[in-house]
Amino acid sequence: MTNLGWCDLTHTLFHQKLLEYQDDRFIQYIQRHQIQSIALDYIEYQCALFDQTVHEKLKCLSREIRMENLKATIGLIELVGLFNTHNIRYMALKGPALSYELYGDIGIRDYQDVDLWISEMDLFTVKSLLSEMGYHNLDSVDSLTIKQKNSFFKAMHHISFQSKNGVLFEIHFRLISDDCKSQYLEFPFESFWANRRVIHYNGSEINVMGEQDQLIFLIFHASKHGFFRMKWLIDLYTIFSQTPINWQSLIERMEQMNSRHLLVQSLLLIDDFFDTTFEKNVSDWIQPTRSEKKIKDLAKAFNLERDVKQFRFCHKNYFRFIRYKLRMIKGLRYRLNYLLFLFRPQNKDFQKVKINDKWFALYYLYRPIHKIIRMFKKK
Amino acid sequence: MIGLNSVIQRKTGLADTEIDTNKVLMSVETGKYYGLNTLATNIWMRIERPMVVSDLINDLVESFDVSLEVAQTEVIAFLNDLKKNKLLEQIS
Repeated sequence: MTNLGWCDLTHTLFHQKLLEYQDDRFIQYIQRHQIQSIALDYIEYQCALFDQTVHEKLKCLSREIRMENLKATIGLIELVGLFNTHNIRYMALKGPALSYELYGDIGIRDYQDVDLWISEMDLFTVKSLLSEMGYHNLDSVDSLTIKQKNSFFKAMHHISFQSKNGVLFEIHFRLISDDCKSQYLEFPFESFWANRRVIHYNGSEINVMGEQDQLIFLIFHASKHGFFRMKWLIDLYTIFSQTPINWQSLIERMEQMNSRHLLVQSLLLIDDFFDTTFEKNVSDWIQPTRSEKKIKDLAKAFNLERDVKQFRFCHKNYFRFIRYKLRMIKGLRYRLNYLLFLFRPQNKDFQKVKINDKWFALYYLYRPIHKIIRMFKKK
Repeated sequence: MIGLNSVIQRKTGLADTEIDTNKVLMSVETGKYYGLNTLATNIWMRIERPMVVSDLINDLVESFDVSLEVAQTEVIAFLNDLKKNKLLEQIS
């Protein structure tokens, strides 16, 4: 087993939470946080006394993830080759590239799909190319009306494809969707493209974001999901603890994007879970305001929540998450936009109920009613 | 056929990961999984860059308790197997 460069974390909240139970609850915990291989590496590094059956189960889960990751990585290599042949600019996000870069092995991180970011200008070329090459478009809009298509593209930030061997791809044509648009927060493809790096992996070259861009994106991505999964926090902890950071430049950029609170909450969470000491000037800078502390506390609660059902519609964390997002998003207009987003119909609504464009507004009524009905059905 | 004087290197378009300290590979070309044992993993790690087979065998004889003759026969057979499965490239 590879050692991920762990330091002594035995007195940290991460250690305490990870090793809180040594039975099936442990397995549920690591699956919920998608840290199968990382958890295995950690308990083997710690030589933590572990129930043999649970240890074997964990090994088995880690093996499964690694085999799936091999398939996904091959999918990425194939797709990158295709994009290079057709001069399509892309940057690989998270997934195999990040796993290789941070942990030295594509098998460590658990990723359900392969994410690539392309320029919005190339979206239609990519769609036709992938369909031509036999990838199945999971977000087909062919059957939608004009208003439905417009609404769909306004709400979406990626389209999903599946390769013949079952690998799922998310092709992002923008990184900020309507549920997290915030004042001054921008991820322009062209400037990120100008900063890109190339990762060399077994003879294949894969474009990824520049180091600082990637860090900002990972902070944003984890924040957008309320740090719901420990794997995102571990990625950030690994970057902050193992790579040199140009703090001044990072802080300046976060402040320019009106996103100081996202960096502060990330650092505070890292400190809470991994007991990390930052440089004096950084520690001074991250002294949180009341609002920043509040947003961090909410994210911490989401991370500590063991029961994923609590995030479902109308459950305990559903409304807390809305509160979190309203604190995360800056600017009144953007907050209102987020609230509207919650009611905005999505592709699955269009597929379920066909409403004429003339009565399109009815979808805004249909969506919450449908959600409530579904909730009661589940109960 | 790969011989003592051949120069070899891993093929591109492969993905690998470590499972229970051994490497598992997958190839774009064949779409198949390949599991390597400890010694094979060790060889795999050494051939990331072009390498003369005789140098590789000498390195292995120094690191493992194995005679030169046995190493030559087994390593060359293994490398030919990798080549047959499109995991290895014979540069010269």
